[in-house]
Amino acid sequence: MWNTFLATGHIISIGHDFFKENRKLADKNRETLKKSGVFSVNIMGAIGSGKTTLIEEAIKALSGKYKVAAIAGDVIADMDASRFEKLGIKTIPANTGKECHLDAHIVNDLLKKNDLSGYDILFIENVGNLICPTDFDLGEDMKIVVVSVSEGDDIVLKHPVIFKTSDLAVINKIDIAEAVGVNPETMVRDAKSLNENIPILLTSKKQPETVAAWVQTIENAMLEKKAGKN
Amino acid sequence: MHEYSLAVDLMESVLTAAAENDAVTVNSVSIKVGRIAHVNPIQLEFCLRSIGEGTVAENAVYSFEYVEPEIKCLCGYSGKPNVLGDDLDMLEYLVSLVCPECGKNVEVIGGTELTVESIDID
Repeated sequence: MWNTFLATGHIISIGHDFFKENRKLADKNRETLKKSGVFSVNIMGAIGSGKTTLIEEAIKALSGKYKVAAIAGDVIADMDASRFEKLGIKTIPANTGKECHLDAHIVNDLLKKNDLSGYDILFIENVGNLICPTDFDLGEDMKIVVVSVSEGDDIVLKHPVIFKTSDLAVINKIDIAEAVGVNPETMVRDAKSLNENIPILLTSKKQPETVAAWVQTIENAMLEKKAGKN
Repeated sequence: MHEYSLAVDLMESVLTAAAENDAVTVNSVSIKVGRIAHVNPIQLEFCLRSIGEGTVAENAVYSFEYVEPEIKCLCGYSGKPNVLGDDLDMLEYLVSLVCPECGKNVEVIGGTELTVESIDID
């Protein structure tokens, strides 16, 4: 890992930390969101894990009671954004171009262009990826990682950082666990081994009680935040 | 995974510092990589070399240094985790990140950086 070299000229100190720059901007976003009174959730997970569907379900259940907005991060196209838009909520598409993650910069730009004062919840759907988003704080209140059983029961241990740094883990599509030969409990155990305090939800769109628990978790987190408990 | 865009930002920082100091050539660039950041120095170097073509940093030598994580535990411990070898992969490394005093899982508070420390110029 170490390349050694001989200094031949003179040394200029720079000391520029690129991730710190992102974190500084994320703090600004956090401040902006706090002023607007919005509770924000960053939803991360692989392509096809069910992020968009879970957000849709939460929007359907909560948009009658609360003012809900969503940022939909896609590399290109706007399929996810149009799914949220159809539900009648404020939707902000975020095409990342070549990027594999959303960063604080993108969110900062979007927050400048979109005043979210008066909104209660902002869903931020990250780009489908379990690795890159972990390096980029957006300024959100809550980080959620979504994995589906179809990704295999070793998916959790393969991506330790995201489970270490998330506030909630969702194991999705449990209705097909048997068909894909996966025991969701293995995934739960692995997630707990990485982060013993992380709350874990087992969900399936086909099991309404699990969707209700997902929605309730988001609503409770938002209400707690509004009550100043976290 | 995102080395290319990071390399673009890094190179911009290198070239700005080089221009401000009237550099004719950048001999070397010293970079610190937090062990917990998802950055692969080999890929990063490849991207930097490619982006640096045709600039004063064209022939720069890159040196990378890993920064070990700093951890904080509920038991009150704050500092470095137990020393681990260089050859451990990310997974083993993270799973083994526990408090050296009480053995519980810890919060990582450092080792996530990507910093251009300095450049050596003529």
